[in-house]
Amino acid sequence: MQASIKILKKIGKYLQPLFFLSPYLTLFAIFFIFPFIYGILISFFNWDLFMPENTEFVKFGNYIKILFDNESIFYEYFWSGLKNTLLFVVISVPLLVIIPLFFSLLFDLEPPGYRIFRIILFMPTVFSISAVILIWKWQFYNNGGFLNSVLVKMGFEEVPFLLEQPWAWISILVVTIWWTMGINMVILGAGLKNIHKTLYEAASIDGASYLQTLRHIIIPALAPQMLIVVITTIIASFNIYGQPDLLTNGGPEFSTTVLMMRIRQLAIGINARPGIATAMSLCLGIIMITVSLIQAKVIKRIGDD
Amino acid sequence: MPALKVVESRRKKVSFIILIFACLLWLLPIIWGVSTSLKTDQDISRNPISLIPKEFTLNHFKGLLTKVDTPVLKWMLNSFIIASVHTILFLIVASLAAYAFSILKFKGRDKIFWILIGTSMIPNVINLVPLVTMMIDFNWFGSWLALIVPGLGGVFGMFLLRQFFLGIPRELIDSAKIDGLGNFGIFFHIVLPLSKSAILVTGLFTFMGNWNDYLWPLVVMTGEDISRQTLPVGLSKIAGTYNYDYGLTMAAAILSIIPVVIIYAITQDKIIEGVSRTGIK
Amino acid sequence: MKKSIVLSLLFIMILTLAACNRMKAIITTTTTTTSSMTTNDGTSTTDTEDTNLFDEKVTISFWNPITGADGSYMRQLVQGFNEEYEGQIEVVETFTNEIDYYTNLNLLVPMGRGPEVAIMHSYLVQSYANRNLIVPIEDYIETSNVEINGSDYISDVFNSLYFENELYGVPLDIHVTGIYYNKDLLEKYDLEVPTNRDELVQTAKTVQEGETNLGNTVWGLPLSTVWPSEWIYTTALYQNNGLEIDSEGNPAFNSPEGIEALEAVTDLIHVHNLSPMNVSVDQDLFYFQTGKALYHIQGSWMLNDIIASGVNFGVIPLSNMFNDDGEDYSEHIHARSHTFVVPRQTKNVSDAKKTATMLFIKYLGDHSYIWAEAGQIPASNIARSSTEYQNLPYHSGFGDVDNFRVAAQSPYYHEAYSPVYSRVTSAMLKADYNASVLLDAAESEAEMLVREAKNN
Repeated sequence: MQASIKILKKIGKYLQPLFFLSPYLTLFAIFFIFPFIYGILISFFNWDLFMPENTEFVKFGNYIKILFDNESIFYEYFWSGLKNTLLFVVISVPLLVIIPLFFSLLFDLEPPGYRIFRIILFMPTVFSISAVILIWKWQFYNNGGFLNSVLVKMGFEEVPFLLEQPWAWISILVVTIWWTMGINMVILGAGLKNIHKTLYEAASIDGASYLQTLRHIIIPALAPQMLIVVITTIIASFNIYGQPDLLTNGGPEFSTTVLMMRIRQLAIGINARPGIATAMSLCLGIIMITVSLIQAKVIKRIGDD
Repeated sequence: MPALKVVESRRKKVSFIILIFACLLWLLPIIWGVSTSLKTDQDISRNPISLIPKEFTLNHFKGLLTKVDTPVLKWMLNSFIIASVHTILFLIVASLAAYAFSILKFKGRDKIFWILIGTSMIPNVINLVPLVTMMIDFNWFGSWLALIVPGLGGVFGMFLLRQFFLGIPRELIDSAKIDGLGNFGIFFHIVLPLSKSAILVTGLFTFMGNWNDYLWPLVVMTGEDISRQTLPVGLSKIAGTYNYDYGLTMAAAILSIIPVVIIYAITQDKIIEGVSRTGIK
Repeated sequence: MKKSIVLSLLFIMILTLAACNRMKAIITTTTTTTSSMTTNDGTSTTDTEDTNLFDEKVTISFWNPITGADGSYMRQLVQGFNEEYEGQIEVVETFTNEIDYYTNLNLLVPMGRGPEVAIMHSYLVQSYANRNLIVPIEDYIETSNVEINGSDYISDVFNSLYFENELYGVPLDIHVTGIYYNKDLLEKYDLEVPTNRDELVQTAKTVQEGETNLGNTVWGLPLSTVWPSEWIYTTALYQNNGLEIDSEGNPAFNSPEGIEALEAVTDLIHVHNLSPMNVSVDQDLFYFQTGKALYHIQGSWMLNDIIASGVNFGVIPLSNMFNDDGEDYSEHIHARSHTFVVPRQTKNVSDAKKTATMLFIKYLGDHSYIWAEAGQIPASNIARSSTEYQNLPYHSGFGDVDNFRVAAQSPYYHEAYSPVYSRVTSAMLKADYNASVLLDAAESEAEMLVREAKNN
């Protein structure tokens, strides 16, 4: 009797977690793990979406093509796309952390009306990418766009915002900051609220300047929020697609054609090459994971200091 | 401590000025969009800068609502239904899982959890092609199910919930256990009521993610009638078709953000409060 | 725990393999299960007028990429057809913008969710036939007894629809770009309508300078650096006796003629300063519609948008505008055609459907004078000689049909030629471009694309 209750209890111990977890884990397995493994499989084939008889096993052929075969168009697509994506990550991530941090520090001082300001700055994050682009595209246009009309009125030359580098990247960056900054701002703001104000006071009594306080008290105390903010921002920046697709259409001269645009085009576009597309995305994935892990380590160290 | 007070009030003033300026900057594109959508075509080409239309016209909005290929209101409804159903289902599934990963104790719990987190680092794009084939296989291609279901296994929202749940004082749960509450009881009577704001925030992120998603609906609703598309996909088609029609495109953008702005204005308090109160540790 | 992870991975692997097999099974069954679903009886193709054509009503799905100002005419034509064949045939139309349209066909046709008849641009027919996404139309013509004679159509267009000696399409129209001019501005300066490049440039300069002196902003010929610059460049290439591709289907635009063509286009901006810099898509149109441009190069399909703007305008052909050696080729104008094609079906197609499809194609061809009002030029010689068409005020302005040239034919045309488009844009954006560097880059990209397409 005693023993059977024990066994039942033991089973129950596993059944309950199973009950709580199974709906989620099932969905996760079907829609994340399964396609992931399926994707790895596809990357070793010259895959035909619809005619399996045309699908052939090419071993590492797709990887060799995109990584090493400089005669191949896919080598060109991969490396130029990756270069563009990396460039965007490198310039966007610091700004997408520093600018929200700056605003959240301002809000933390609780100046009059700060709630309303925060509402306004957070607002664009709830818009869809297409609405954002519709609004911004005309701001950047030449010959009648808002910004250029202002510049001309002020006696300057027009700036080809969407048509020449570095303006095209700057435009994409501006839109991205305008659109997505709010989330990071609120997360960091929540972190700041948790820091006891007595810490600041103690620091300023010790004669520490604001920057010193920032460096030695605020930033380390913000490490948990920073971790989330930095990692999600890195992932989001690697995944950039909508902004260049809709704003610059990958131009000028493919300089904003990011890797995701190439992958999407090869995944289902005209002349789809799913095998190549998945091989590219796996390579991109490995890079993303590596970068994220390094970042996580760095932030952890700052937090531990 | 008067010096400290002075410094603080000076800082407040400076931050106030910076924020006023930033907010104007943030609002300018929207204000300009509103004004352009209310201008006549002549006015748009003659006075692109002026923020006040010479004469107000609703023609762009009328045109938008009568054209067969710009059913903005229908797109909004579609997106709202899809994102709402998705969010509700996700919150149910993910809060159960988050409970298991935070409150329950079982062997390998953290291992499984970190495997999940690790997998979530894998860019979605790897799954793009296989998911398309799966959708075809399930006969979901072109169906809203393809927009609602696959994201339900998402890690980010579940991770947020778990972090919130971990913040619930252990003593509360232990004392509930002593009072004889089972896991379901603890889940429904302790954890959920304590996490209202957390659930709201997670729901918001989930809703927004789904509402704003562009790439996946673009792919999986390929070939479907324009009236069945989501808002981001529909709007992107306007951008392609009515390139030169500044007034019409601005009207579309403004119309599409009006309900969002209203909902946001009503709930922003809870959203921002929710994030700040719960914190993430 | 480790064991269970390994087990679950194994489980997933099995699932993966199962899914792959399932996909194969699905595809093979849909292509082999056939006649059980058909409802025809083969004898129903009679031409008894008032009685039923078919045993039961036939529904046909029809896709097209026509969404702009010309779209409403297409809707009107389909409605007219449905009314005429009420109770017997119903055509269900779906239209998508051109950017998505071909992606849709690529994806949904192999899935068995494509349309039963579709409109395709003529220059893509070879490629789609080569990839087996569309099927020869001759079988449909024979089954239906609807008469389609090659001699009734512009021969250049009709011939381009053969791939490996089989006919894959029936042309509906031919469309080109032309020069729209502002009549009021020309009259104001007492100028004649230009007939060659020199006159074009001179008149544009006169008006532009004259208006500038009056303090007005009017440009001679604003040119969008993006769409429709591929039309303009291709026309310039033809007029300079250049080729898009060679007979093997490899790129041939990187030639002295190709460079001359590029300069003929960009000189209008960088040398003659007839256009503002950095003009985006449809901004050129906007200039013209708001009276801020003397000339505007635009497709015939935008005719109604320009009429609607209220500008007092006329149309002249592009002939001799990018080269005036007086040779035949300098009169050539790049043209494309909207063509009816039959996408591959995964189910067997009943004879009734084939007949209904051809009746629909025939009806639209016969009524293409209505389609012409949308700015398209009927491909059918009969429709073009009709009084309804002859009475249209602007159409003859786009030029002599004999000067229209459709794209060179190759299943790899798009791969071999389209890389040049973005380089044309670059050259139009920057005054100090290096033509041979740009065309070299386009050529090497094109060669890689062609190689990849041929090997796949």
